[in-house]
Amino acid sequence: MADKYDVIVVGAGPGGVTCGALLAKWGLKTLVVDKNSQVGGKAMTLSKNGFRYEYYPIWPCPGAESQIHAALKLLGIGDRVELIQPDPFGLMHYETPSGEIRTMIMRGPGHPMDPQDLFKLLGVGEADTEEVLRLFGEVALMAPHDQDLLDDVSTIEFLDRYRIPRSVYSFFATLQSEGTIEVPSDIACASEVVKIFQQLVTGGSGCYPAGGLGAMYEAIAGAAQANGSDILLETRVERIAVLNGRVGGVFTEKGAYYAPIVVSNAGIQPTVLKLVGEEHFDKSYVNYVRDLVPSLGFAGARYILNKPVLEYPVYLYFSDNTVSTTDHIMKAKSGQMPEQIYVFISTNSLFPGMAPQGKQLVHTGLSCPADPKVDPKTWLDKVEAEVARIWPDVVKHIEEREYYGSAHISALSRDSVVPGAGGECIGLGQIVGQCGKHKPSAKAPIIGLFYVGADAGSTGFFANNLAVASGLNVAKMVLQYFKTHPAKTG
Amino acid sequence: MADRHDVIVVGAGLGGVVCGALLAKSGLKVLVLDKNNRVGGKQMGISVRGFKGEMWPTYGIPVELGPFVDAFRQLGIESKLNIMLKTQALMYRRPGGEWVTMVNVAGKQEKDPTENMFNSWQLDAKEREVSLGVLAEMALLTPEQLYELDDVSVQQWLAQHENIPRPLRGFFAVHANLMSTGIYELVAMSELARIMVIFGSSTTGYPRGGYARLVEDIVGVLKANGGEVRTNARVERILVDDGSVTGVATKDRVYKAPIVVSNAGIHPTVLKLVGEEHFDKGYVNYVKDIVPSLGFASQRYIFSKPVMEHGVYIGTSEDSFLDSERLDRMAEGKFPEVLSFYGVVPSNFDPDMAPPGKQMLVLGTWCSPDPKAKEIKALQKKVDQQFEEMFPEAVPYIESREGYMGPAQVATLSRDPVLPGLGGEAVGLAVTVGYCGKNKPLAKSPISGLFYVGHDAGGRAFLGTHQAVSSGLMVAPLVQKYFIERKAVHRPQP
Repeated sequence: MADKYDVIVVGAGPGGVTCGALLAKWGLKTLVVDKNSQVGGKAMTLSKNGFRYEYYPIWPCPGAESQIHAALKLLGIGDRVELIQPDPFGLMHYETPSGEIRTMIMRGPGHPMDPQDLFKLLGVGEADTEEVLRLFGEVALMAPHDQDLLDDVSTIEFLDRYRIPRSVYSFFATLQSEGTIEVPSDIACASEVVKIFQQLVTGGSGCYPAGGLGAMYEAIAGAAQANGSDILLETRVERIAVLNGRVGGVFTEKGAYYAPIVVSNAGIQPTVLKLVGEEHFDKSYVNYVRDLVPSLGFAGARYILNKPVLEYPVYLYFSDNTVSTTDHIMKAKSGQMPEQIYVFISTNSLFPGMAPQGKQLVHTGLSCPADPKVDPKTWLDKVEAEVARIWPDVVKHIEEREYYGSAHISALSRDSVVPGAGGECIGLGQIVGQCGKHKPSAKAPIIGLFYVGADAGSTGFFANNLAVASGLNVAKMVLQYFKTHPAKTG
Repeated sequence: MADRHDVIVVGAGLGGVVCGALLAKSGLKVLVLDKNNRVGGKQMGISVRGFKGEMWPTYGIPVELGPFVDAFRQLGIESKLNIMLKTQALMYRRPGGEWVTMVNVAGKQEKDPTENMFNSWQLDAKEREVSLGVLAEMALLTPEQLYELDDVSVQQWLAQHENIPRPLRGFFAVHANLMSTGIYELVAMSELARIMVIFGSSTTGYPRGGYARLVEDIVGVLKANGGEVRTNARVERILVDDGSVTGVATKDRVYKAPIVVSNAGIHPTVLKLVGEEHFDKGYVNYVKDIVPSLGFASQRYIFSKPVMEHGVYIGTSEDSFLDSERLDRMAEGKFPEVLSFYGVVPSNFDPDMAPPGKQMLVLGTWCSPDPKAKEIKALQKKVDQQFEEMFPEAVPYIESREGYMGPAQVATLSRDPVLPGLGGEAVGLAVTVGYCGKNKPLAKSPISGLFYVGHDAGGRAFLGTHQAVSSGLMVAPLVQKYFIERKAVHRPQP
């Protein structure tokens, strides 16, 4: 292994590994370093007792025309990664104010939803149809210029512009804000929500890579290596070296590696405040970075069931009262859990080779504060009680439980360098003031330093698709930068 | 802890109180501190021997739209906004010395609104065609064109047209002074066009009870929602720790809050209240470099009988505008032959603003913003002379002339002078090229938790008071979201 590269990528999460693989393909001598023993960051896939599974319930991207599809194609491995498009995708449960739980089948990609099915689920009467169609129509067809105007508007403020029944309001506010971008709906950025909704309309509800998400990122890492990139695992980067405002490389626990360009997938806050160090930045930039608000964390459980209970990959539950706001998060912090919450369960055991015969692994969980110091028990108890109420069969067949909270997420991915942050499950919160035109620049104010991942470089996507989109965009930026800034010698 | 608040607003000017009231209404614990003994900042009400009004002529609230209407609606007190209408006298001095008066009757749409104006300008047919073309072009500017015109001054925009008649140039130039409170060659065309279009399309008036009543109503909402206002409380320092706001200090106590909204002006906030050492050099240089608006010199005439017929008097000529050269000459005591002037008679809108049978006129003209400007007395004397020449019939009834105010008084009342030549600006920073529209200073400062409100930041195109109210309307949601985002998702609870 060499110790001099054109570019070093710190962190092999979805954004980092995509960015590194593309740069390698485009001819740059690339090193990707990660502290974990596998690539994929929060989306890595584990193998244990015959199961293959991710730590967390993650649905990677819409079924078609996603950034993940685009990245695989650019890397020339579109045919090597199979993106399974399950149909039906799952069930959506809506509890009416009178306590009746109604169910709708969610079809897979390529099977557009019939609005009548949704109207039946949500009990949309004839009198409300026109206004509900106006909402869905305007969201689905909104032009980019009008989307940009929503950068400063929260999802709730946006929905308040329509006189829609509470059930439709909750469908939108619950599933499109907390449900997709992990932020409360009163601060969720409406432009993000609209853009993501449009992708779901175009591409359908979702797909899953054969062999797991991690297998897809391993394939991407494989493409990087095939193009001459080095992937260095189990190696923690301790410092990004900066001299006179210019990046020089990284110091790891295993030694130093040099490059005129460093792309950090370690999160913007850990990168600036820890890996590079405040002293290299202007005061205002440090203030700005420290003040960025993370997405919510996640408290969840993996249940091993002694028989396959779920028929479909995903089950969602919501009611008129499951719209999460900052107020709910604050109350939950002080121990007052809202009575009704948004819950879902999912399984990847239905896909080939992901579970031993006769068993099933089920994910469930709930957004919680990103603070790794918060004890997730309150949230976990509530989730389990709700799962038992809504899907009693699942709970009856649990033979093993594994729990986790924001502390686990932080340990796996970004370090906690700001009080209250570190365990965010997406990275930077897709909230008003941090998205669209307000998204942090992927180019840091240090010569040769870039950020990649959910924190910078892309906007208007969700989860893994957001990070991979950043990988694509930042790779292009870095290539341009590399071409126009020949490395200084000597 | 009694002195812990969610938000502290420094300064109870219109921007400060609107922002504070909206935040209180949205559930935040708000404290407003002001150094004066009354709220309202430069729009503070005066009450002398039964005469009520403002310290300077203030007028021009559109009846059906604009920031005041929006603010009162959002605060749930729309019914309290009572805009009174009255005739406006637009006086124009022809080059020969003759004053002609055009009277606008509020609410009455003229068949051809430019006809009278062009008559008073004595334009020939060709000049009328050119003038009409220019005014129509301005009225029809698209949002995209206006965006571009943030970077073009009124003077530059006019220079793109040929054969501009002198009265038309004078009209634009004087309105750059009058509406945007800046000097002719610097005011951005985008701002002036936006304001003139609003004024051309809506009826405007004066609030019942004066601006003091407006402020009182707004503060009423603040208090009804648990907010608190303390007067005679001069903030000496905005406290910053490790790049984040922690509260403010007055002479004798400290108030804690994670958010401070400063209505004290961007210059005093950065350079004095927070202190340069907390900012990047580039930002300090940027702030120091921001161009102030013009100042205003004002005086009051008390009449023993109602001699002034109209609600508003605006006097101009084709050559009465201020540009930087004329401002320099004024500093040497050389004034233009004719001064633009602006006067308001509050009791002609609301009879309760003066004792029965009497009248007060608040009158003034534009000047340097320098609190140390030496020419102000002479300038006010010239206003006196011009008034006497123009209204000889009113002179015998002048009971007293008083309330002579200029940039020195403005600086005492509102923002502290922190840079040479600044402090007495009539509206705040000027809406000049580079500092308005898309180039307006950001309301969010580079210190976490510190925001600006008022004319200096956050507002949209409009007259001074409106710009401040508009800033309050824009900054409040920004602050509210900032508060809930950090409180719930980010910062651990105390």
